[in-house]
Amino acid sequence: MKIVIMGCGRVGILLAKILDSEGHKVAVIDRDSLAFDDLCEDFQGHMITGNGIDADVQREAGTADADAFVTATRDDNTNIMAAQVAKEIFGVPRVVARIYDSEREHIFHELGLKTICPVTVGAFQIRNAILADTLRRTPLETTNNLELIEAALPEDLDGKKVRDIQSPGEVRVVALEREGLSMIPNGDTSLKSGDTITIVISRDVMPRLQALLGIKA
Amino acid sequence: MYVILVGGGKVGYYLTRTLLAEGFEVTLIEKERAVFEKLFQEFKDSVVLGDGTDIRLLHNSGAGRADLLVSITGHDQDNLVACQLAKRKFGVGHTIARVNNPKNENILRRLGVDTTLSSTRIIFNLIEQEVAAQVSRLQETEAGSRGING
Repeated sequence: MKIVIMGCGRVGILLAKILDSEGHKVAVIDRDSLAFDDLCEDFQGHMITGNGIDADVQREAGTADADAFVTATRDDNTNIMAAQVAKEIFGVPRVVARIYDSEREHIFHELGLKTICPVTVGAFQIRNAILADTLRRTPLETTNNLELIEAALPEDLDGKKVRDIQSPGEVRVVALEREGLSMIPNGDTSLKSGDTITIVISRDVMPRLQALLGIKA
Repeated sequence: MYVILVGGGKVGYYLTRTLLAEGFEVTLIEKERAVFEKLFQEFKDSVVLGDGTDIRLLHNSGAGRADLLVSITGHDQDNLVACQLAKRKFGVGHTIARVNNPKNENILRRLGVDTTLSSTRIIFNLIEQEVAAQVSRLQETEAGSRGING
């Protein structure tokens, strides 16, 4: 694949190295040519110095026939604009914008941009690292407010049916693991204490689920 | 009529002053504290300190009922995002962006900004007109002198 990466900070540099070592054709853009110093000497790709929101700079980097375009500068709005130039002006099929501000990320996600918010991802990963014994929360990447929850079923819910803990449009049990066996349950499936259940949930009703599963802060 | 202005530089300053004098309701959003404090002395509650591309700030500034958002910062990317948020998130009827790099004029319009304004482009067009006028004057003079000699 031909991939253009704009912004050679830590993420941009590492991404460029990974993709280059996998044999992809990589071009990197940064306003500061010193940023390229951190690319190893055996980097095969192109290095373009310039402002990546500028369509001419994008063209020089080969954006017109790129398969993917990634924006990873430290400035959210620069990333948002450059991503839209790549997507709408050059028609790049896969464009990913890194956006730190999670609210801004939500909106531009809604507007059709593929976005990654490292703040949200990082916060949930750290949360899971310190609270993994209660339940694991993972934001669903393709949505704004849905999460995947993995939790052990508490004793007091033993014998309940899946439908007893579901609620339409808010909570759905999508997988169940019992004694090493996985299954996709339906509403009639009986639950057993110790089952690991995977639930898709709307973030707004999280406190209700925590109460149901008997998880205290 | 309620107008939100993003960017309190020279253009933002004079625009705020003019609009307030004309009786418009105005909120000017400025990011830099030092600049904000100077503006505040004159405009009081009509100026707000913060990032005009911040959703919460736009919300608190009443973007939901604004008729017009004009973004005039020195960064095209900030002007684009302010206009896009105004239009698509808050349903502002009309958005105007100052374009610093004239090459971005078409791009910003294609990305949904209603009106773009590039002072570089305007001055360049005036220079072109001036050059064209001089060339035609020169051609007239040449034609005239040929007429005399010939």
